[in-house]
Amino acid sequence: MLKKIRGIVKSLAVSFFFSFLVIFVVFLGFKDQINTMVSLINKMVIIEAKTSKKDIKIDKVEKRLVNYPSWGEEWAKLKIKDINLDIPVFHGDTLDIIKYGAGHYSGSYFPGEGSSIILAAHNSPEHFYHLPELKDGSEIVIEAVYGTYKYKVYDTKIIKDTDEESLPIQTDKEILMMYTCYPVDSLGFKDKRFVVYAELVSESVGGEHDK
Amino acid sequence: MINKINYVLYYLCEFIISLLIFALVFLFICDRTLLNPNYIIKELDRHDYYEYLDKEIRNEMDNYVVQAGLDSSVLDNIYSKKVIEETMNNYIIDFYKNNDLEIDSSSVKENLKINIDNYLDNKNIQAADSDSLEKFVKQMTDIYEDSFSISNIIDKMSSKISKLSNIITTLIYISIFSLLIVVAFLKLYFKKNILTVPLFTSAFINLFIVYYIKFSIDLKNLVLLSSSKIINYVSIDIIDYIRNLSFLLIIFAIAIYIINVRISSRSLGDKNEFIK
Repeated sequence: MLKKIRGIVKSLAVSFFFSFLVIFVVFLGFKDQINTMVSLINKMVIIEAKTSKKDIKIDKVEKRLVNYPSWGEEWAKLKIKDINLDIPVFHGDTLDIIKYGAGHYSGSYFPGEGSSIILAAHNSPEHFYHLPELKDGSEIVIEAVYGTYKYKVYDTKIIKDTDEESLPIQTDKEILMMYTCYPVDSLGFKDKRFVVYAELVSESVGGEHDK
Repeated sequence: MINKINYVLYYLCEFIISLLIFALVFLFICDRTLLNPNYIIKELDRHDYYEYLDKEIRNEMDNYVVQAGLDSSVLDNIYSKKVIEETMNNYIIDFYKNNDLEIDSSSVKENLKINIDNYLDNKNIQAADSDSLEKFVKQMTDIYEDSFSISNIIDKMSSKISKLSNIITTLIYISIFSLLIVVAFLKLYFKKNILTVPLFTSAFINLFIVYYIKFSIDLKNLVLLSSSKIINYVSIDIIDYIRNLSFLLIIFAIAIYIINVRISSRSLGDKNEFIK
C-alpha cells in the first residue's frame, strides 16, 4: 500500500514538474499577448455603476459636468408650458429609454456646458406629440439635478431621418435641439423628423429638481 | 550509460505523450461543445434563451409601434414561442452546416397585416398612406429576422466552423488510434506504465487554464457580442466541463496506475512461483 502511494506521489511530482514547465514556457513566450487579451476581454465586463444624483454637479468655470449620470438614469425634468408637457429626461436615447420620457443623446452636451444639447422622444400624446405646435418664443425649461435652465424657441424644421447635419454638435453656444418622428398623427413608418431649436436665456445652478 | 539514456528517453516520451493527450482533450472538448450544434441547442433550452428571445423581439417591436401611431395590440399573436424555438434550432443547424441563414417570416408578416387591418377597422381609421404601413410591416419582419442572429461576426464564421466541425471528429479518431499505438509500443519497449504521468499532466494544465480564466476574467458580467447572457452561460458551462473532465482524467490516471501495479505484482508473483 505504501509502495502504491509512493508511486502515485512520484507520478504526481513528475506531472507537476511537466505542467509547470509547459505553463512557464507558454507564459515566458506569450506573457504580453496573454495579458493584453485578458485586459481587452475585461474591458467588455460591465458592472452597473450607480452614480448618486447628488454627485452630479457642474463646474461653472470650466462649463463642464464634474460627474455624469449613468446610462438610462433620469437626471432632469423637461417642462414646456405651451403644450402642457412635463416629462423626465434620461441619459441615453435608445428606443428602450425613450419609452419612458425624453432621451438625451450621449454624443451631445448637458445644459450649462455651453454647447449643443440633443433630446429625442416618441411622438406619443404623453411625450412629443404636440412638439409641432411650438412657435418662436415658446419657453422650454430643463430642471436638471444640478440647476435650472431656460430656453427660447427660435426655429423649427422638418428634416429627413438621416439628416444629421441639421442636428450639429458644436461648442460655440448653448443650443437645445429636440426632435420627434413626423408627421405625428400619421400611421406607419415615418422617415421625417420634426426639430425644435431653442437658445439658452437664463440659468440658475444648484438644488435638485422636484420629482 | 544505456540505462541513463533510457531513463531520459522514458521521461521525454512521457512529456511528449502529455502534450498529445492535452491536445486530444482540447479537440474532444471542442467537438463536444462549441462545434456541436446539439450542445448549443441544449444550452439555449437550459438557459431559457427562447423565452428571452420572445421577450426581446416583442420589446424591440413595441419600440416602433408607438412611433407608428399604432397600438401594441397589433403585435399580439403574430408569432408563438414554439415557432421561435423551431426557427432558432434550424438556424443553428444551418449555421453548423454552412447553409444559407434564412429566416422565414412570412407568417409573421401575414399575421401582422391582419392585426393592423382589424385595428384600423375597429378604430374606424383609414390609413392615408399605405406605403408607410407597408414599410412598418417590413420593419417589424426585419426585426424578427435579425433577432435570431446572435452576432454578425459569428454568422460570418459559419463556413470556417462548418469545415472545422467536419475535420475535428476525424482528427480525434486518428489521434486516439495513433496514441494507442505509440503508448503500446513504448510500454513494450520500456516495460513501464507510461500513461499515468501524461494523464495527470494534461489534467493539471487544464485545471490551471480553468482557474486562471475564472480568476482573471469576470465571465458573469462579460458583455460579449450580444446583450443576452447566453454567451456568458455557455462559456461558464464549457469551463466547468473542462474542469470536470480534468478531475476524470486524474481518477483515470490513478486507476491506470493501480491496475499497472496489480498486473506487475501478479506477474512478479507468477515468476516467483515459477522459480519455486
